[in-house]
Amino acid sequence: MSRYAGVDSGSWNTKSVVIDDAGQVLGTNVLRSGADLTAAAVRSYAEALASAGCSRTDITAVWSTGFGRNAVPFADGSRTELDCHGRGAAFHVSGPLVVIDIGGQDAKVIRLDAQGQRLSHRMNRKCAAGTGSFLDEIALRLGIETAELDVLASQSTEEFELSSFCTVFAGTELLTLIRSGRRSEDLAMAAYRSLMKRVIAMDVFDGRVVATGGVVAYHPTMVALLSDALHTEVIVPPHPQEVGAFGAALAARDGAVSVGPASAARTVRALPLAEGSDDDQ
Amino acid sequence: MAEQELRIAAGVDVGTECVKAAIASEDGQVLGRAVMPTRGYFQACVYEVLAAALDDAQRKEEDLVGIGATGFGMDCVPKATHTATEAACHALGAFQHVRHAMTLVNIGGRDPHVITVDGEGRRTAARGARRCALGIGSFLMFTARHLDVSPTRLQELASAAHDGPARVSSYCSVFSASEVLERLREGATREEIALGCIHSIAERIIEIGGFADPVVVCGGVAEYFPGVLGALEAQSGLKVRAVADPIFTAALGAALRVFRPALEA
Amino acid sequence: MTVARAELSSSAALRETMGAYYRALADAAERKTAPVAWCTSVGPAELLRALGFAVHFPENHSAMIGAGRTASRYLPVAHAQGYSQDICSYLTSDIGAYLSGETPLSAFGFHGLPRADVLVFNTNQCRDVRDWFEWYGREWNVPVVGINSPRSVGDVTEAEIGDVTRQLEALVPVLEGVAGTRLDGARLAAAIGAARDASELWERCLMTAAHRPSPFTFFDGTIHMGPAVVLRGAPEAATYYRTLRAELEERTRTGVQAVPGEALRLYWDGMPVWGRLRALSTTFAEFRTAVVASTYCNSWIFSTLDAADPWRSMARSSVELFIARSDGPKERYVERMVESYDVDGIVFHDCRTCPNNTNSRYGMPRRLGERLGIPTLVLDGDVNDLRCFSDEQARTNIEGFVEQLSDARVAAGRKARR
Repeated sequence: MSRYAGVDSGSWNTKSVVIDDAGQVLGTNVLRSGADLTAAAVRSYAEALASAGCSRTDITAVWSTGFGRNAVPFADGSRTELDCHGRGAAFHVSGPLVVIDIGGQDAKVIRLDAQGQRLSHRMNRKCAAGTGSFLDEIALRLGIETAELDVLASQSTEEFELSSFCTVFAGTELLTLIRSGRRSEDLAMAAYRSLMKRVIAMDVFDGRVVATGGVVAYHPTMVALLSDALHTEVIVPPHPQEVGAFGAALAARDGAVSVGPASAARTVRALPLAEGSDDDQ
Repeated sequence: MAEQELRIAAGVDVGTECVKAAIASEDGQVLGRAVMPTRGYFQACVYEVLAAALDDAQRKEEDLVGIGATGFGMDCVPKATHTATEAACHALGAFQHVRHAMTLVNIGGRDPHVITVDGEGRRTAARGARRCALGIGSFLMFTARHLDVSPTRLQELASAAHDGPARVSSYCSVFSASEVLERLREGATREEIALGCIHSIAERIIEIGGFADPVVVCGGVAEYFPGVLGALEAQSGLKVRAVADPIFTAALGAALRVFRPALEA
Repeated sequence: MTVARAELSSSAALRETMGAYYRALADAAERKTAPVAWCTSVGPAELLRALGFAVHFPENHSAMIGAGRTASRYLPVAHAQGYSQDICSYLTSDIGAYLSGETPLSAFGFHGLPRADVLVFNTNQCRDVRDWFEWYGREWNVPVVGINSPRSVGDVTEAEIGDVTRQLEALVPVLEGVAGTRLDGARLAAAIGAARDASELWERCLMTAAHRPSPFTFFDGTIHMGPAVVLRGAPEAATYYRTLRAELEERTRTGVQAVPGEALRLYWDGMPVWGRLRALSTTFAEFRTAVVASTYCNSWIFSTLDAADPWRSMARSSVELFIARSDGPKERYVERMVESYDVDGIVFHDCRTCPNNTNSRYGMPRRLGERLGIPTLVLDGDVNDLRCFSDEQARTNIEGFVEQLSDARVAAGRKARR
């Protein structure tokens, strides 16, 4: 059996996944990225190997993805998070599909065709609206941990709208609502609804919908709201927070073409030069 | 006794990041103060902070001739006898220290303002920052999270920068914080980045406009991040100083409103 | 990865041509050797040249500020004057620089901006150019005149050409008054002829990029278009483009590639990101992707200028300009470009402060992508305000787009072999 690994170096968290050649997950790890992305990647990878019960030498190839994909010195190749989230989602759900990924500082919508080939992608603009940090801000204002938000929202009885998408403005609006005596439960729900609306405005959702990333992993309310709004079941694949890392491991297994810049520590395969060639350089 | 002659009042500034209270005598002396973060329901914060300020002044609530309230949550101060806008209270509070006309720059947690104050302590004009440039508190909080420090330690970090500030700039306050990671990856030190954040705040203040000599700064950011003053000086070319206890400026102004309610009328 | 990019040897001639232009302008402004007119980049430059004006193009000046990455210092200065962060960052960085007493032109012997005797706008681009010129008009108490062009023009009509023709003719008495001379028909015809010559040569230069592999990229174009902009109507422009054209045609013969190992070809729509020109050029090159053509560089091709019909042909070239058109003609134009240059995808720059030169906001990427069957990418950024541009997001967007295009090619190849 061959084993492959993927490391997703994100702005908030670093995620690692070890798989076998059938794509079965053998081990995973998630930890805070902190200020040193390389150190976090080294640690997260080691933890994932330990959780899979194997060592570095058992791994045929490890690929990186995410914000810090070029800061993973031991990676054999890299792909963008756009590719890896699509790849990871398409492993579980056949296309055509639309992948929604909501991370801490970014949100993306990736459209794939029936073969899992990417058709398009959209990322948030240079603005934190529609990203996980929005929920952090809301939780801070409510004086609770972000992880407690979901349970709070589940007890909501009254529906109303936050009119701001902007993270900073929604924070102020929320304070206004707290001041006017609104219940925290209803405010938490309103926050999820606001985030959901921002996300579904990013693109057209015309296939099966898969949601990935930390936000859907820890906030089932978000998934339920997306399903309602899109009139379709929004599928959350296994290990939703680690889908990017899983996709990177699949890229390692499939020997996808890495287009990233070369580094001494990495085998970069060149772009195909001519139509129909997948040759190395 | 002198204590019986001087009337005292409380001022409460219910801000979006912190609730501040000051106990002041009629002649403008600050006898007690307290501050705590704004979390959950406002009324609870107000009770707590007012009690702490009274405690600091070693007075009782019955000693107060009135309570002035200001700030985002001023309607949540249950026993307020007077309310006034933040700009007016900042003007009055700063004037108490400075005693002349000035450009007053209030840099609080959310909504920075450039306030023109006349020779009587009245606000004659006020301009706010653009939408996305608001939320300085959130910006510092997210930045500090990326740098793995407490937000209040950013100033300390910035003071230790060997080189100039790393460039951190985006319209979105929250998104700016994620630029911190890009700078780190490019090799900037945490110290240079902390300094860069302070410069970034100054830049947003400058673009509000309306700066004229003399420039005086108040608000919580001036309290915790005095480096902003130097950055404002460098960017505006004007001398910039802070009032004493800048985080309590509006609370002091609110207390003084109890004695001088008709100032703006 | 260090990408060995072949420098164009014409760059030396470019520097010389531009340097001579700036020095002549500095002479006019500082030693009063000629009256100075400011002109928008697609304004009536031929007319101004025929009247003997030394012509300053503020957009060129702003692009220099952007490329020098000093805009971030100047923008807040203009914002503080009440000029919003949401309006043209060319305008705000230029006015901010003026108020700061700085200019990149000081490298060419200027002591500040060349002070205008008259400012001449054409709103075929946007309203901001007029607002920009009126600021200086108030500052210096000098006349601001110009052409209020029809916008969002579908098929160009006689009515529109007639309108602009009359507006052009109405400028003459004012400009003659400032210049202190009468307009000479022969000089106007000569200026229009020179502009037409340069335009044709510039177009030939750009078209060499249709060759595979391309000898020239959009990023080269943004630098080498300088003479087409600032020397429009002067013979020096054509002289330069003869040199450039010869070198580019030589490159196509000998197979010199602008992007070594060119594997993908893209079209760029919208403004450049001046402060990130080199970074973007390097990023695309790392991915062996040549951005071979652009709406932007093509906007200084004026094929209908005609010395025999000066007024109407100037009017026509102003009205039919890409930026002044509705989405229908714009899409047909981009479609033709995609075909001529044989590109694999289109990049739309959503330029935050330049709505008029941003074409991705009314559904065009989706419509063109579906009609042409090629992928499109929208990059968020700005022409001069780098607060609107994220290096990280741009890189991931571009890298992701390249992955998508190359995966699709590999998949198509597999299918073909089967």
